[in-house]
Amino acid sequence: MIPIDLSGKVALVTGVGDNESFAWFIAKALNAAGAKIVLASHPRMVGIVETFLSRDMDKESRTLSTGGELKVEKVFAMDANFDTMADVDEKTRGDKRWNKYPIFAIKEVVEAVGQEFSGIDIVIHSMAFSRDILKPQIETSRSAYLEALGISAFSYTSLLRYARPFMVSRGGGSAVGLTYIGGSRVIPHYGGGMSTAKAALQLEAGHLAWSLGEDNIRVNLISAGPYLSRAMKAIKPGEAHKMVEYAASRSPLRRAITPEEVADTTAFLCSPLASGITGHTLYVDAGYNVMGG
Amino acid sequence: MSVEQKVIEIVCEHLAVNKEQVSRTTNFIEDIGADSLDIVELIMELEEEFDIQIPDDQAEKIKTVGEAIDYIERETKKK
Repeated sequence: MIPIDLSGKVALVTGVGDNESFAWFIAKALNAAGAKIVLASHPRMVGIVETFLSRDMDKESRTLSTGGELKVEKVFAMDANFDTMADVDEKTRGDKRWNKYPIFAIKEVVEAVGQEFSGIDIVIHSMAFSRDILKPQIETSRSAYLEALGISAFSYTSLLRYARPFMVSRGGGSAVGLTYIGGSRVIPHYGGGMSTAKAALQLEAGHLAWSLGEDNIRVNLISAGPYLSRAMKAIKPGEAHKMVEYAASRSPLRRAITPEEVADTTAFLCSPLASGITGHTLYVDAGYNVMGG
Repeated sequence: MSVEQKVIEIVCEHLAVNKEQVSRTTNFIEDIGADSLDIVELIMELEEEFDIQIPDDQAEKIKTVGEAIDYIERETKKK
């Protein structure tokens, strides 16, 4: 048996919004492999995430494949719109949903994690947002487009820029981000600048792999097939399941993917088994991407 | 305190509105500007407060304060 052993590793997992997020399953897989889990979630989601981490009624969703229960060391508030606290605008500063946290920009949060846990080995990027997500590209506003690029793509660069010294102090590390086939092919409903943001993220991961390779930091992406998360259902109520069914019917495996499959692949990419893989986008999509008709 | 009073109190505190703005017919999104995240947070607070479960398919149907009150009253009576 070839084990995936991440014991003693510190994993910073961004993008957990609830117990159906891809990042939730990733946190569980990394934890099952022995890693210490630190979450950084959007300030408005921290309360929701802490509830899912503590309520009895959600215990089952915290169960690990190895039988234990997900243990999270700490949940930080982090808004991927801001690289440093100096970048925070007046409106956000005045909003009590943000300002109840002393720090919530990428730099300060990553540094707090790196200092408190004496380094960072694994960084998970699972954040994406466009307020025009329901609009096709032709109707997307410039501001929503740029915001989507900043939150969904540039934030990977920002995260790794600030995590770099803490990963170097551990002798290197691994980063995994999530993308979607809408970043390389035209998926008509994937609008609001999100498709461009994913395209940007995919090339960006290659650049980050180049820049950080000299520090033994690997940077990869997983392109996940469509999955009915709570967030997805909220974006397209009543329609999200049709996208999932369509992709399933057109995939070599004739089925949809599960979030556990994305999480297991993430654990693999973070493990020494994947030590030769960097700058890569790995499809976990039941094979949908190979189809041409 | 009745379920209605308690729900209105939680809605006011959570969405930063005054009691005068909130009645049974108040629609969370259209009348008091809640977004989908506000509603998720609110549903979870109501679950905690009344010690009930509101599954997603039920939560989707709750659009007004009155619908929330009715659901909670039905669930708490079952206990």
